[in-house]
Amino acid sequence: MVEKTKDVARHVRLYYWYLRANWLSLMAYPVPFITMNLAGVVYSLGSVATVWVLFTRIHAIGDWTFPQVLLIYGLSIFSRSLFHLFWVELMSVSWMVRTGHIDRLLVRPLNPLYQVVAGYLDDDDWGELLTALILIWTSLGMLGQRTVWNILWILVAGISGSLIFASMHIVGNAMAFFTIESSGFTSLAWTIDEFARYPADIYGKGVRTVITWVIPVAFASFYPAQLVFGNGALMRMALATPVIALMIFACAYWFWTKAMDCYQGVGN
Amino acid sequence: MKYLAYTRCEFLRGFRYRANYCATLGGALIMVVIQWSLWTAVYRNTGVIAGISLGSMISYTMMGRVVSGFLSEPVALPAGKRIWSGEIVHDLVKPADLHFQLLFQNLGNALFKLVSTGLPLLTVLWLTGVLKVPRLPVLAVFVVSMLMGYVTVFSTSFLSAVVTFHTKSRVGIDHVYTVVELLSGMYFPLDFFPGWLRTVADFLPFKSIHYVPLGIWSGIIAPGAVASSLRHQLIWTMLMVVASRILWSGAVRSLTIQGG
Amino acid sequence: MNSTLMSRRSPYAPRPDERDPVIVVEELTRHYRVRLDGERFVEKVSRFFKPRYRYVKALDGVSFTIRAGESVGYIGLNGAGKSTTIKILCGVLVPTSGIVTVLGVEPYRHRTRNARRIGLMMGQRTQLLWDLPVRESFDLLGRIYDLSRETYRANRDRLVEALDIGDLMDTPARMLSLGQKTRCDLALTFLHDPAVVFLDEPTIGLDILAREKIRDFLKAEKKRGVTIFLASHDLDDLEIVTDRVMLVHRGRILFDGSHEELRRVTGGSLGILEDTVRRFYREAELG
Ligand SMILES: Nc1ncnc2c1ncn2[C@@H]1O[C@H](COP(=O)(O)OP(=O)(O)OP(=O)(O)O)[C@@H](O)[C@H]1O
Ligand SMILES: [Mg+2]
Repeated sequence: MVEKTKDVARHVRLYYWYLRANWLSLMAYPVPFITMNLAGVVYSLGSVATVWVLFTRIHAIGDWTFPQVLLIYGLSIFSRSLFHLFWVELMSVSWMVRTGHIDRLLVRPLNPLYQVVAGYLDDDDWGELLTALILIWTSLGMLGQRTVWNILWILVAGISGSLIFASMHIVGNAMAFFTIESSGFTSLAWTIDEFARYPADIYGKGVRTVITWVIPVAFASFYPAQLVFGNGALMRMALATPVIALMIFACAYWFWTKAMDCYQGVGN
Repeated sequence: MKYLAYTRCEFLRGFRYRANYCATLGGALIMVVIQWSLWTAVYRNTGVIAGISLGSMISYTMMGRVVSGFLSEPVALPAGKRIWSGEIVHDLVKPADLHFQLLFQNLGNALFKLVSTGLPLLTVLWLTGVLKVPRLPVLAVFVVSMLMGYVTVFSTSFLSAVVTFHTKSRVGIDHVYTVVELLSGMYFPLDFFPGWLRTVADFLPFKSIHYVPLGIWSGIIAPGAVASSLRHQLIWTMLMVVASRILWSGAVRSLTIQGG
Repeated sequence: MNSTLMSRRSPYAPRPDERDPVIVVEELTRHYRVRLDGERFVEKVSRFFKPRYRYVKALDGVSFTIRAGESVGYIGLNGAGKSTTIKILCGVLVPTSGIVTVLGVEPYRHRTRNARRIGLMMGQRTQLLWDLPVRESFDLLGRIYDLSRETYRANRDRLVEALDIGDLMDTPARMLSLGQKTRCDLALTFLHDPAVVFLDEPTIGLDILAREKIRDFLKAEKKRGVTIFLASHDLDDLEIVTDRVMLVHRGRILFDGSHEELRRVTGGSLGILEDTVRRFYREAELG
């Protein structure tokens, strides 16, 4: 137990040094860094414009009012951007397996998944985070719910949500260990994320059960938002969010270790 | 034609990854479920939005899922100067034109997506009664329009890639692709746009990627307006191909004469 | 391990075969599954629905023991199974069957524990941080291996001196030549005082002078008591650095012994290892 704790502490401490190296690498090309981020802002404006145009036309989805829908949408983008910023290198697992770069990570005394994730910092997705914050702030205002507790809760929900998304993508990208080519699974994971964008009760009963209990993406936006709405019936579900997130993450991690055992390596 | 060999080769390559394919099909089905549920829920409170009924909307978005693979952003295009230089040298020593080679190679990939994902999806949607296949003349016009949509989506990325070669920048169209997606009508028909944005979108080439073919299929573009939409597509398609040629030969010349 | 190193330096050092075994491999096999592609159009499409596989026996019953402080060369034609062996010993690949222990543990079961005590260098695949000065790679790696500040400084300075890379420390890795990169990589491999080092074609693509520097360095490390496992196509590397060769062919060990023994077996008075090996191959192909 003491050993385990020490090991975790070591990984946490090292994260700073990885971040530092990543940051310095980004700064090695200052001009692309700036242009990429400017492009990132345009990219996010593109998604905001899409949401905005959509909501100038539709004022409710099912039984949910416009501000409620906006909060759910904003929360899903928030969780997703947190995931995106810190876990983006997961998407390279397939490439690492194909080129054999993963071998390098396996001969170091650190957790391989940690090394994959810590090895790179996203350079152009800060705009998505900004978009999410704007959407959440606006919707909270419309709902008259800009309280400290709500903001704290949204932070917890965002982190939990990012763990849920990360779990999805860990499983999707771990498929590369079996199949080498895993882009289909990666994009499947991206697609599953889309469930979180809209209120979960627009889906049929079967789908709703699946996205609540099997692939719990509904916990990345829909259920946590219920706490802000003060929706008595679903309040308990809302509070379960962090627990569900940790549980699904544990499952995904277990799958990752199993997949790694099947890894063959490439010839060189 | 020798370029069709590239198409065939790329088409067959898709068959190598079976598990990957199952995942892609699963993802496509999920998008259908999400979009169908969303629009059904949206229309629960109203009958018509921006002049579009639920039936036309479902037809537009569901068919949009069927052709989304075919009309998706080409991923295999080289970007960045160094890779381009390598590709161009490669091109110069081969008796094939790289521009057309990429166009046809990518067509193979797009066709694979259409046959392997689009057709099963279409069959399922047709059997469940979600999608109705329009009359033959409409269908024929739709196919022509969709092919022009393909050339547009390819040319957009190709032009962007060649421009990055000339400007030595790393930012390409794929970094701001959400804007293209919005303007192309991938998420919803352009009829949703406010007036000024509609004017902008009507002028730009991107609407020929999704809006025109899907609008024809779903009847959102009124029969009277089909001819002018097709004209818009044709003019832009030709313009983009010509522009690609000019910039492309410029890139080749700059590389051979000035060494890049 | 330490006691072994200490005793090696004493005047009463035990003979090589009495030292502790560091690597023990028994009846090791490793198969790869390769998917067969159809040749004709129809075949390609039908195999999509019903794939066929073929199994490649990359290793087919390999056994050997390597003792502390030994320096062993591993040679074989392309595709003989060298890299596969090294990957298994590093814990990257799981064996299909057989027993493997490195420093008393099975590498693939205790990958992290194994990783702390071994070093791996793969030629032409750098572990330098691409856009950053070489110094940053040293710093990060020192922290990854949990070295104390003193150990880290001492090791780094020794390696920088030995490989003559002091001038490169502040250059971004992407600006280094292949030879310079290789030397930096080699230093990084030895940074955490590994007891065993695996080198997979470290001199690939280097010129004569660069090779010489690397050989001298490896010879010096060998003297310090590091166990070296060197896979290479460059027989001069082996002749100079190692005192034992293992020859692997189609996943089996054909020969295991000293350079002199190898020459004796092939019956030549041939002085050059290369000719000897070539003869051996010819016989193996015929038999
Ligand atoms: N990931 C893999 N999938 C399928 N077959 C593989 C894989 N890796 C290696 N092989 C096969 O296993 C055999 C041994 O490969 P290995 O890489 O160990 O050879 P090697 O001795 O290192 O060769 P070289 O001198 O060319 O580096 C070869 O026949 C190779 O084709
Ligand atoms: Mg090899």
